[in-house]
This record gives sequence, C-alpha cells and structure tokens, in this order.
Amino acid sequence: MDERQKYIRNFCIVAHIDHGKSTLADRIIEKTGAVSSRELKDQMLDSMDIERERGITIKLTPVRMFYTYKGIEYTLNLIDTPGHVDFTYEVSRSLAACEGALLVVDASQGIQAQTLANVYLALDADLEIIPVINKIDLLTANPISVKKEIEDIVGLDTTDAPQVSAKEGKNIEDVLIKIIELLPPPNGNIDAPLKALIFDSAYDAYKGAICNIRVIDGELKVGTKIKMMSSGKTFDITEVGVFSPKMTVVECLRAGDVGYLAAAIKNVKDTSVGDTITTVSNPATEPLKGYKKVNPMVFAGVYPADGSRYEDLRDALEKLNLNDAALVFEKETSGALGFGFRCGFLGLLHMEIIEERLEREFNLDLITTAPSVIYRVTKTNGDIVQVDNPSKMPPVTEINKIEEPIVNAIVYMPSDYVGAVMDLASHKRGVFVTMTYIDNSRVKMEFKFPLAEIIYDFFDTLKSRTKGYASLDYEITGYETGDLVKLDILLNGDVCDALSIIVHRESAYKRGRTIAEKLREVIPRQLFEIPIQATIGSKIIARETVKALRKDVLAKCYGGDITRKRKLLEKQKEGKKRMRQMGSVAIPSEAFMSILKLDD
Amino acid sequence: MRPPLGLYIHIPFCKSKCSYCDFYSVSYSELASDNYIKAVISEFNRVIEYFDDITFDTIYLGGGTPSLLTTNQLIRLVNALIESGRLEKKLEFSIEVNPESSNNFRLYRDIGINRVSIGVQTLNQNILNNLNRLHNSKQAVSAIQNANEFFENINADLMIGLPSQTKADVRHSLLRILPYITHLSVYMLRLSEGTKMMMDIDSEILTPLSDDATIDQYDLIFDKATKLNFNRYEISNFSKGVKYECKHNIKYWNCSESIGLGPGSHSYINNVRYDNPSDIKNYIKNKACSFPSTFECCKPQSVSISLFEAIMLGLRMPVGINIEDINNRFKINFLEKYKSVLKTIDDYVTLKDGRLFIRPEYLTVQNSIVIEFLDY
Repeated sequence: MDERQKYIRNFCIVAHIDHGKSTLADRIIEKTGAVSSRELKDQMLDSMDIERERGITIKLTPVRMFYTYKGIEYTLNLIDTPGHVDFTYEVSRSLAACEGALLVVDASQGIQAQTLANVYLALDADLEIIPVINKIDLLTANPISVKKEIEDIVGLDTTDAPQVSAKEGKNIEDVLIKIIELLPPPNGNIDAPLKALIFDSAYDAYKGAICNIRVIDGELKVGTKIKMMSSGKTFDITEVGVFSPKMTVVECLRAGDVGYLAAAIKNVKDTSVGDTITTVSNPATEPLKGYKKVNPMVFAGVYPADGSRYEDLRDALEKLNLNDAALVFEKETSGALGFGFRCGFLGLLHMEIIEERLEREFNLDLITTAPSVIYRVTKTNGDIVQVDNPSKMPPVTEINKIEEPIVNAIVYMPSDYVGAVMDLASHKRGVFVTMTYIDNSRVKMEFKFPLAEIIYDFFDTLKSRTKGYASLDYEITGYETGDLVKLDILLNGDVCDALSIIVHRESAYKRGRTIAEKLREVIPRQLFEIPIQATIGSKIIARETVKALRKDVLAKCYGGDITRKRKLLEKQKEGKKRMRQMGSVAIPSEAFMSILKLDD
Repeated sequence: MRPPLGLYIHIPFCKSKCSYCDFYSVSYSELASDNYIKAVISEFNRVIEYFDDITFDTIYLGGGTPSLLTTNQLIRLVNALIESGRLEKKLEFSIEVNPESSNNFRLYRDIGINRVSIGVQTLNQNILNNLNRLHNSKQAVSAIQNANEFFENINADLMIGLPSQTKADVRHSLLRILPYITHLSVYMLRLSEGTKMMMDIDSEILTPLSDDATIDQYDLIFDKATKLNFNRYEISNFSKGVKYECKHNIKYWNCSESIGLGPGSHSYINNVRYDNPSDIKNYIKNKACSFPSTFECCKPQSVSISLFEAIMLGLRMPVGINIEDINNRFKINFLEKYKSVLKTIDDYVTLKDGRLFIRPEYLTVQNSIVIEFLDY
C-alpha cells in the first residue's frame, strides 16, 4: 500500500427500501461540499425521473468527495447501490468495489428483509460494516431497541453507531468520522498488473460505453490498451475520470481509486458488470472473483398498442439496451398482437421500469402479455427445451415433464400477520420452511415458492394483506418438477396466443373461469356472438359469451347531426383501430392487460 | 341546373327546457321573437341574393317550439318566403308543434303548411314529467286528433329508451296514436352532457335503460308499425306509404343541398357545410358571424369526406345507396374501391339491382357496419 492509498475510503450505503439511504447520501455529499447546496436536488444520485418518483435507485452512481479530518484530507468514494431484489447481482458488484458499508436502519422500523439481505451481501464481500441509525427525528423512533435488534440479529456492535436524522442533517459529521476511523483503506498494489472491476456501465452518445470502475491493482490512463477478461476484447482508453459528482477528467486512476473510463466501446454489452479489466501488455493472470453473466428471469411479450409503431418500439428498446445490458429482447410474432418483442427482465420491477420508460421517454403505448418464467420441458423423446413463452409450449402429448424455477423467499413482518401471510403463501403454492421470532412482535418466515407464482401480483398482495408492514427478499434456488398445464383462451373458436398462460393444474379451472369472465366484460359486443372458451389441451374448462350487438345507431340524423355523426364514427373507427383484430373479432388492449391483474 | 333545396328554419324559443334536450334554445318572449323573425327574413334574403339560382321545394319549421310564434309573426315569415319567388309549386312545408300549444292548425293550413309534426314523446304521464314536457297525455292525444281535421300528413315523435319506460308503455303510446297519423319518428334517448336528465342519472335519481331493453322497444315498434302498414324508410322513420315520407329529411340522407336559417342551424351548399353560431343576440343584431361570412369562412369538404357521408347517410335507408349515382358523383368504381370492405361486411349487406343496402335485421347496428368504409 502506498502512502496515497492510506487516505482513501471506498464505501457504499445499504438499507431496506425507504430507510433513508439516498437522503443520507445527499447529506454526506452536501457536508463534504462536493455539491453546493444550491445545486443539490433531492436525492442527488438518483438521476432518472423514475428513480426519484419511485424513491428507488436503478443505476449506480459513484461520487468522489474530500473531507478533512485532523488536518488530513481524505478522499471518500461513495458508491450507491440499487435497493431492490431484482438487482441483487449489481448490488454485490458495487459492494465488491468497496472496503466498507454503511448499514442504514430506520429507527422506527428496525430490521427488514432487505436490511438482512444486504448485510449478508456485505459480509460475503468481506466489508467492514458501520450501522447507522436513521430517522431519529421521528416520534416513533426507538434507537435503543433498534440497536439491540442489530446486535441480536446481525451480530454487529452498535456501541458507537451514529444516530442521525438524514432528513434534518443531524449528526452527519459523526458518520464521516466513523468512515475514516473504522473503514480500512484500499490495499491494492500499484505495481501489480492492472485489475479493475466494472461495477456499472452506461452509454454516452459521444464517448461510447462508459465503465464505472474500481481499480484494485495497477493503474490506467489515456492510451492504455485494455482487455476485458471475460471476452478477451481489447480497447484503447480515450478518457479516464472521476465523478465529483459530475464527470471530471483526471490523468490516471490507480489502485484504490474509483472512477470511470471511456474507450470508444460501441456496445454496452462489451462492458459486463462484474468483469475485470486488465492491460494487453502486462495482463493479470486471474480475473477478480465473482463475475457472472446475469440472466433474465421474467419474460413477457411487449407489443405496440398501435401496430404501426413496431419500428419505434424496436428503436426504443435498442436505445434502452445501450444503458441496460440486463434487458434482452428478440422479435416475436403473435397471431393476436402482430409484431412485437419477447423481452427478458431481471424481475418484475425491472419489467415495470422498462415498460414505464418506454411509455414515458419514447411516448409508446404498449400491450404487455402475462409475464412468464423459463420452464424446462423434457419431451418424451428425451429432448430438453427452455420455454419462455407459453404459446411455445410443446403439445401435451410430447411432454414428459415440466420443471419450473423455485425461489427461497424470506418475509419479515409483525407477528399479527403470520396467519395472513401463511394463507397467501398457500394460495401461491408456497411451501413453509421455517419461522423465527426476531423479538416479541416480529417474525421472519421462510418459504419456497415457484417463481411463477410471485411474479404476478405477489408483492402487492403481500403488502396489502400486511398493511404494508411485510418485507420480502428472495433468491432462485433451482428447478423443480411441477404439475403444470398450458391454459389457452379461444375467442370465436381460435386460440388467442397472447392470452395463453402456464398454470398449476389445481388452479387452472379457477383461472380459466376468471379470465373468461373478465374477457366477457372487456370485449365489446360486436356484430356477431363471440364464444370465449378456456381450454386445457382439447378440454374446455370454462365458457362465456359476448352477445351480439343489437343497436348502436338509433339516434336521429338530420342536417345538424351529420358532421357530428361523422366525427363520432371516425372516433369509433379510431377506437376499433386501436383494438387488435383476431380473425373477425376485435379485442381491446385492456383484454390483454386484464389477465395480468386477477385478484384471487 | 341545380335541383331545388330544402329550407330549415330554426325557431329557438321554448317555454321551458326539456330535460334531455341539448338543442340551442332560449326562453320565449314576444318582443324577442318579433325581432328574431325580422333577422331570419334578413338572413333568408341575403342567402337567396348570394345564391341567385336556388329554389326550395321543402321547408321545415323546427325548434325550439315553432308553435309559440304568434299568428302575425308566422304570417310575416311565410309572406317573406313566398314573396321571394323562390318556392317551388310542389312544396312540402312542415311545422313542429308541441301538444300544449297546438291550437293553430287552421292557420297553419291556411298559410300553406301541409305537414305537421307533433312532439308526443310518450303518453306515460310520469315519464312526461321526468322529461319536463309541458303537456300531458290527454293534450297529446287531442292535439293529434285536432290535427286530423286540417291535415292529412301528420307525424308524431315517440321516444324510447327513457328511464323507467317499459315495453307496455311504448306499446300503449304507439297503438293509441297510430290510427291518427301517417308518419312516425322514433327517437332513442341520447344522453348529452349538461342536460338535466344526465344530472338526474349521475345523481341516481333516474336509472338509464339498458341497451337491450331499448332495442326490445324498438323491435316492438317496428313489428306493430309494420303490421299496420307503416314502412320503415329510414332507421328512425316510418310512413304510411311513399306518399307520406318526409321529403325534407330525405334530402339530408341523400346529401342534397339545404339551407338552415337561425342560430345553431346547419347548411350544405356547393359542397360546403357551414354552421350558424348558437348565439341569438348577435344573430338578431346581425353582428359577429352571419351570412355570407358563415359560408365564406368554410372550405369545401374533401371528396373523401363527402363520399363517406354519402355512404353513411344513404345506408340509413333500407333502400340503401344507388351505386351508379355514387360512381358518377365521385368518379369512382365503388365496387372496386370497396372490394375488401364489402367482403368484411358481406354478412350484413345485400347488393341487388345496382343498390347496396343493409339487411333489415342489421339496420340497428348501422354504425358498426359503415365505419368499415372509413378509409381516409
């Protein structure tokens, strides 16, 4: 370790959602003067509108700050982390770029599911953890019991834990001092071959893909020829810099530093998060540990509501993909919806965010099909196929078995809601594993769920059944065989591919009935009777009918009514155009959306 | 040579507003209506001066409540029309009459009116009250009976789809009036924003009738009227033979030219549809927007809009549209241009003897059929 490194501290902040992570980050940035309070927007690091509105962090933003303590100037690098289970891998990589973490716990809520999930991630990354008790300004704050909880459950010493109010800017200096005193400096070797960890990347129209990096060993500067260790691709560095928090060019980045590099990298996919960068001339022999390719877990068909905007949707997905390598998509054609894309997402939140960005930033109206997981189907001839689209499921006669992904889920909640959560879990094919009392009033429950059961509306239902008190964390543990069937919906005798879903046999009847009823409500009456059937294979399990339209016209039509009538018809035609035509049946967008939200 | 036009004259005065009505109307006063008649005559004279080749063979005095006009006002108006020399010899001249102000049939006949239209709506007294109509069911029946003394060509308006209206109500009203009339107009309630009925429904004082109940009422009227030799010649209109069809209204469905006088009226001439602003004060003062600027500030309609209108309106009549007429008028090959449309709607239309018409059983879903022709 050289002298310079002694005065660097690399840290991140981990917390359960809403425990005040971003607000604390803002205060720290403000305190160190990296951003003047005039420039300070709320939640400085969450730069996307969606992040600020939803109060979540999606993209990681590092920021470099200076703080003078006992006459010595320290460099503090804060790496923000996303706060949602969909982005666990990104969290683990940003943790790997640090030596320490602040664990923010709400003084009134105590430990929640993601508090622990994050602590375990931080411990896995071998980080020094400083507990910070936040929101002590709240009337309901109980720092003493929260501290005890942290000691009992997490096993961290809380004697010196700063008690702060990020909102009111109280005791922030205390946090800064603890960072300097308690966190170890980075201990890389500047003379060793370059090893830099990519913990995030973003696309810049002028500079190409930008890698956010933590230099572990060695150094890099403009002109260094670098190599991505996972792919072997090489690039020439065109710019190195730090975030202060604006991008600021520096001459070089050395062991222990956090910053960014640009190297005329055209595709953000060449900058995989977790990858190690080394030099071509003097390469490291081993990459850093922990790199893995992130695979999407949830798939859905995404179609433009107006079929003629297919090209626009493609452009928009390509643009989003530049910044979000975790999004995958490929062209898909549906009999009912026309041209669109099968998109893969890290999870349901990721999916919602992408949909919202497509609609908001690219002004698109979308129809999204029911999200699906990847099923592993073993055919009778021994072939194994991965099915991410229910309509692609092989015929029943060719299926030997269907396996589905299983998650291990941890739920924290006040003990009053144990019954409600057990009940919900049983509806979602959950298998109870264990229950532990955290204290007199709070419990931790562990379940096994099929992933497919928790990607619809599980989180919302859990929240509503526990008045918002439950928190959830889950991870995929493997595949298990399930008694699954494909449920098809026939409209006027034809299968509507976009409405097919894969469900457990036991709930198929109920689902089929509910969907058929819902469709009867949302499909408008047309000139002919439309039978709606739910089927499993060739067996009809539910049937509804949209009766034929009998009148649409009896209003009189004289001189003054003609223009009004014409405009009314033009509007009706527009409405019909927005509907999807399947054979002779017109289906409104709502019909496709309605099956996404079926209350049990 | 230009065929004769239709002339609509709007009389926007009412003693009270019916709860479902969103037509332009103001409350009645004799002075205002005196001035108004002057203004109408003035507009009429400007129109015939501007279009020096037009004549009229139908006149329709509509409202509002034309039967509120005094004898003098009516005579002055009709005189001005006659003096213009623009009326055809064979003239259909209609007036709308409300049952509560229906004591002038003799006058109407004497000044040349030859068709009366009586706003019965329903004979159920409770529903009449809901509609805020001023007449009672007795007055309605006696108005029709009185009209018979002076007129051969008598229309009655009936409404269906009204809150709390039953099939029995409709049957009763229909059978009670059919013997005294030669023409029947059936109007389904159309709820408009801002009307009292809409507010009553929003505040759940009244419950709207379902579409199915409404269409049952319509089917009932169709059956009974047909049995009694009334022919449905348009979706909402029935007559006792061709002789009693309303020639004025048929002009609208044939896209013939017509002039509307008065605020809120609409005209169609030289392929321009223009509207008079709904503002009686400025109309009387002849201020702001009045003829000919009402006409001149509008552009002629595009061919595609006119073509669609011709189809949309023509297909309201069971006889449908004459394909050769359309071809000649729009310089198109209709059957070729709409080949795929005709295939789509094949189950609902008939092509016969050079005409395209909607099959009778589908006339009540005409909207859903004609929108297929919207291709601009």
